[in-house]
Amino acid sequence: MPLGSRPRNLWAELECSFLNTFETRWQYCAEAVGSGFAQGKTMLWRREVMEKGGGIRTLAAEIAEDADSTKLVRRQGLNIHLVDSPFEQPLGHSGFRDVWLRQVRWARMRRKTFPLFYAPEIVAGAALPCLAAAYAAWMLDVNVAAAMLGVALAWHGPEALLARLNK
Amino acid sequence: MPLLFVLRDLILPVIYIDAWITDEFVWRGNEMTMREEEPSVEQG
Repeated sequence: MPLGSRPRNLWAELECSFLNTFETRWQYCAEAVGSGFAQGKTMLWRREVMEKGGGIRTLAAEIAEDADSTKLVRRQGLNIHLVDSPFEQPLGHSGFRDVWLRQVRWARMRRKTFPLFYAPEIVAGAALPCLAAAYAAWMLDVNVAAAMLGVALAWHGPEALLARLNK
Repeated sequence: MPLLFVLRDLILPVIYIDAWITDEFVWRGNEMTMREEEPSVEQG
């Protein structure tokens, strides 16, 4: 489970916002309810689990080997577990295009390999709640900007605190 | 940092829609597709 660290420019900071308080948070929440997902870069296996699942060559069944690892483990009635402390991945300087291409690639992988889990991701960010708040405020004839700001603060405030506590 | 959360959450719906409608892309110079291979006579 990678944790972006040592960002040296704005776009590396943006990637940290994707990796750390967003993706890592959801990964650990999923694991906490017994629905962990493997995320390669580093995966530790019990050999007998891998062999019982068909061996390492079966990891080519999906476009992403970590997704296939998750399915292989779950087919045996087992759960994926994440490390207690995510590994730091120093980001240095990043370009917006690099961040964009990586995040869309990962999203396409998630859509392809776990479509039912991917479908609700549209509500994982603050965009829809802010739109809903704007619509509700408009219907109720109250300040739309204030409503959107209130939802954004309620949404991102705890996340900012989480980021600060884990700095 | 909180402003980057806002930027990220503005980007997320675009990424979300892109992931549903895009099956092919280039990664590190390799053309990749997420479409399943069609069975062919050559494959048997």
